[in-house]
Amino acid sequence: MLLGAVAFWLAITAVPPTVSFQLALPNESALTTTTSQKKIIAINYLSDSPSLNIGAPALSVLPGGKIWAVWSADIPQPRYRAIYSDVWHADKVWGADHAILVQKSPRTGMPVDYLQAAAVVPLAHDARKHVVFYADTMRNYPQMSHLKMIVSTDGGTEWSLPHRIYSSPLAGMGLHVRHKPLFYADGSIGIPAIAHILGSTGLIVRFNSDYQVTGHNRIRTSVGSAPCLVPLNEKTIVSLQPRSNRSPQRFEFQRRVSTNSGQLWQSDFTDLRARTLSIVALPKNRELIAVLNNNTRRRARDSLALAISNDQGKHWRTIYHFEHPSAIQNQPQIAHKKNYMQEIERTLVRDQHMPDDHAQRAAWLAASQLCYDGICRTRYRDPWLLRDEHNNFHLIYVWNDVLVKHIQFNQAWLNAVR
Amino acid sequence: MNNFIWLYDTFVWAAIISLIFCRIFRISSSYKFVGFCILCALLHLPLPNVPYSTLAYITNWMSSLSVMSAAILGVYLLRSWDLSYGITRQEKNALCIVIVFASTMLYLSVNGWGFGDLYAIGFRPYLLITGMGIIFVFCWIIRFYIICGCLILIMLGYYGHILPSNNLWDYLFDPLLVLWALFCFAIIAIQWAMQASVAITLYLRRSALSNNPTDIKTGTPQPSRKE
Repeated sequence: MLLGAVAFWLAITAVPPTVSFQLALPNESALTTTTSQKKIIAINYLSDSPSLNIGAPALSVLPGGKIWAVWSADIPQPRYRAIYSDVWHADKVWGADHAILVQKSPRTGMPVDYLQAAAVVPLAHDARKHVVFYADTMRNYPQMSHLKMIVSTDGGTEWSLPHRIYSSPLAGMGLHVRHKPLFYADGSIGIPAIAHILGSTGLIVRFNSDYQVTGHNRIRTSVGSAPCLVPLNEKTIVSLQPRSNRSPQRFEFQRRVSTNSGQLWQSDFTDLRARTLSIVALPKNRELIAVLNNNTRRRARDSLALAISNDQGKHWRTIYHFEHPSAIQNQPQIAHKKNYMQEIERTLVRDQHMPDDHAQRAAWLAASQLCYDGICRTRYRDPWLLRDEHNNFHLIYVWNDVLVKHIQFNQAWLNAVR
Repeated sequence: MNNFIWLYDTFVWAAIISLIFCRIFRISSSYKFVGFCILCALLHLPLPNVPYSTLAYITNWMSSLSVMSAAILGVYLLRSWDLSYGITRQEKNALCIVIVFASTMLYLSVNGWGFGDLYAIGFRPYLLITGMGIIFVFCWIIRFYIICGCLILIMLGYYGHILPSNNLWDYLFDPLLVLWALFCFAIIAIQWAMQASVAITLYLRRSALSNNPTDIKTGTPQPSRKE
């Protein structure tokens, strides 16, 4: 029996692992620029009606060129939370919101709040198969979160039950996701994540084409948030990850570079300061552009800046502020929803999120920091920037905590404002 | 994903609850098996105000426990039903020390300590299996057959994809197992410390007696001060 067991071990250890770590980048020669007008092309709200506690929204390009957005929010029914999905069609119109997952959240009566689907990462491999990765998160207890995924094999109509992903030794607990995935040449996917176990560690959780976890790469210790990964070529990745949370309005970032597709990392300098951010690499000269919360006031999220880096993320220069009053005047207006704050208040009252009484409503608004004395707060967070196959840029972010806003601009506008 | 994972989870959690009850209350071995079966059924009853069962609620938070936990629980369960002699103290001590040592290394490396990521090697576990093979041979030689059985069950579970994880570490350890090992390790450490303190006291007494010149001359122990 002993000899048999030894032979068994020798047999299964004799197979060498074969893993490819080469990244798959989009074909830049196939990019087609459709518009050369130097302007912001479109501004829209994704969500059909205001919602509370909107989680960080995310974008993915569908194979037909459509843009697919996913975000999480509370739904009107108390104690329930949903992941919503919407598609940007070629006619520049967002479709109707579609709740792809509704879960009960024992928010009231519990000692701690259990926020489901705090952040989502959508993936569309082909026209039929769509995947959403998300983290079930307990507020103030990030160690108790779980990384899960739901899969649709019919183009997003029907979705599977949530499937839990195991990639941490604490029974799969303590994992969060955020930021765009990496695509490898062998068809596997790398999801940037952060593991809250005894401290916080950045990870690339790697999945095969069947969405089974096949490995992960550690990106040393960090604070707070998952790493934002930008592939520069087939082997080189730049990682930007919060390093210090001494100032709550914006983190100091740590830049790391890997020249072997994420297996080993070297620390480097960056002057980036932000709270949340999203980065894409420009196709030709490898400039990086980022949309980030470069807040200056304590606890503020009032800055949504467009920054550019010519040296692969070491030094950043802010070139535009999307929500600055002077910038808004020159932007296309959203014609069909002018009195949005009143609509938000009406929706909140209707869904019994907010008291109907005027005095109580003012107190509620002050407590929720949405509006006070007729002055509405400006609060923008969790941007997600995406470049589509027509070389247009799509930016979505949470607008004042109650809506998801979409801004589309092109390369010509970017060249004009830089 | 294994469709029969609920059977595995039912066995594991019913075994844990059953063993805790047996430890607290004195129940005869004939009722223990019946109680275990009732617990298995109770775990699938829905909770009040929640649309899922107790087992689903527990596994939602804790997930499935490791095969090593299931194997150890099985040994203790058989012992509580008087069907096995159970694990020996030496074997249990050795197992706890190995689990505490390995899990400490694992959790520290995952948390950013050290140069390598031990958890990542569990996805392509050729090195880990080799290490387990060495431990298997060593345990076989010193006749720790229950540990050998646990290792064989872990390998069968890993290659049979019993758990939803693809990482061999998840078949070896889980947080509850590590807590149990830490608890046992603390008891072992206290016992060793007490034994060491007794040994040191005896040694100091003997050395004090041997340093007494009266004893050397007469060869008899010196009477105490009270006498």
